[in-house]
Amino acid sequence: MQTIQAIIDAIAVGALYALVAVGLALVFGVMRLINFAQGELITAGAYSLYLTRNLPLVVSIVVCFVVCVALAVAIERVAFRPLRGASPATTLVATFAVAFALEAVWLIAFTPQGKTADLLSALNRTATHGSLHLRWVTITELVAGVVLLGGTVLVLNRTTIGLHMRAAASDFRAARLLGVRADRVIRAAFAMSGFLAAVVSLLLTVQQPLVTPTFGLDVTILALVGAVLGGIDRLATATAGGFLIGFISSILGDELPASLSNFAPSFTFLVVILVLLIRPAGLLAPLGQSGVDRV
Amino acid sequence: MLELDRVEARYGAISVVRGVSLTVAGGEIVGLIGPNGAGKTTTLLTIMGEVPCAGGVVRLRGKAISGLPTEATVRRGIALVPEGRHIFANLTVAENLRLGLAGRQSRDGLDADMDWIHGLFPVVGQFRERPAGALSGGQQQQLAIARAMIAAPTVLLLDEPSLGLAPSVIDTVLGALSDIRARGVAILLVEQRAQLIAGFADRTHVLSNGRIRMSLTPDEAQDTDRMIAAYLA
Repeated sequence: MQTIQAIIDAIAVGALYALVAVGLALVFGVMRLINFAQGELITAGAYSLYLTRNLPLVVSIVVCFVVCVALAVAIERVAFRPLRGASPATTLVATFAVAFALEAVWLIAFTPQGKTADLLSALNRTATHGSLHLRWVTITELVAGVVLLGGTVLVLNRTTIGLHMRAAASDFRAARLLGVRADRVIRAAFAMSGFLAAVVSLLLTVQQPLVTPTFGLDVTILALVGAVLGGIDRLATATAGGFLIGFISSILGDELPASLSNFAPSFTFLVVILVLLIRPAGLLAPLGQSGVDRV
Repeated sequence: MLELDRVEARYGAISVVRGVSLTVAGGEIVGLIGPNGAGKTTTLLTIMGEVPCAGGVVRLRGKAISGLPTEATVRRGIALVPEGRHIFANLTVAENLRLGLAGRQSRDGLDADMDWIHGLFPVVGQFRERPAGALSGGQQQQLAIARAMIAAPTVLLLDEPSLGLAPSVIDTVLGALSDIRARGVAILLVEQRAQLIAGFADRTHVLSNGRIRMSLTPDEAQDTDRMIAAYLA
């Protein structure tokens, strides 16, 4: 039963990382840009939860979504749109610059000391079924993962903006030559990534209510590694890669002896390097596909 | 309808289109032929706003459109069928067609237009749920033209639509272009097959080294010596 519980926990963590990976892959799809500032969106959402901790819960949650989506759209408008058409190296440096600039803002505004955002701490309560003890946040992560991943697929497959995003991800120039509006498609991708970041903020603050300036960084880096491992140029493989890395991290965290658990990330990254040496396009990319230009 | 007035375009310091002037009226097919590197594709991309117009002006129905973003140019009524077709292979035929709606100004008359397009290219209706990448080259070319026509353009630009196609398919494509012309659409057709196009278009300009060197009527299409002289200019 303990194994089943560990697996369910790992699936929930995997779902969380998959949501971060989807946000990264949506932006990568339309801009061929790895948005390192994605982690700062998660941090911004968490700080907004801290700032609105005395307001009604619903208001806090709504503000968190508004902050994450607005910040994502603003970053695109202010930092990335003027650089559109610039070399991949330039835009990559820009994403670092935005991430570091926002981290500096968090440091100045909130100091390095953590701020507590425990609005949803009730989700840490345990639901017991026989000898299975699951925290409500685990169940929420599972449900949120299924609903949001399904919702993303529906948006991409059933809406006009989704069709435009898929076309732009495939060949942006050809899409523009058909009249697809680049600004709108890119804004939609950033807005969706902001929405997903808000959900991750909410769920992460349940598990670790202490919000620091690097709150969203670790989860984003690991999710990025997962997305690249799966194949970041495809939403499905990036999502699966994000899920896989979360799942493996959780299992390693549970199963490794205490003396080795500190090295769990090292083992994870070693496996990632080996996999990418053998399958540069990603573990889950179709056979024969060469590596994409990654920035 | 479409007017290029001493249009220039360059890539960095290299001048590629040098003072090209031409007009295409509604219901007219104008050919643009020339050797590789003559500036034909760049001329089309400059009209679309994809390459900046470095000099001169592009007008549509008398209004300057130079400097507009590509998406805005499309919504003004200019559609391009690019070289290599640029079909979205992972999308279905129906989804590729729906993408053409991005450039359409209004949904008025869409059903009638769809019926007309399906009649013109039955293949797009026949394989509508099939991934576009599974179509043959000729079928993809028909899909590319059908997709462009969904936008109900007043000007249609085509970049080497016969490239890689069998002669029978080329006949189908040219036949469709005649039908499109009959609806009053202005067509600017870039091609490598000089004699084929010079005999088909209402008039054909020979572009060489970024300049128009000669203009031909269909009757002059067989004047091979003149054409070779213009190509080598």
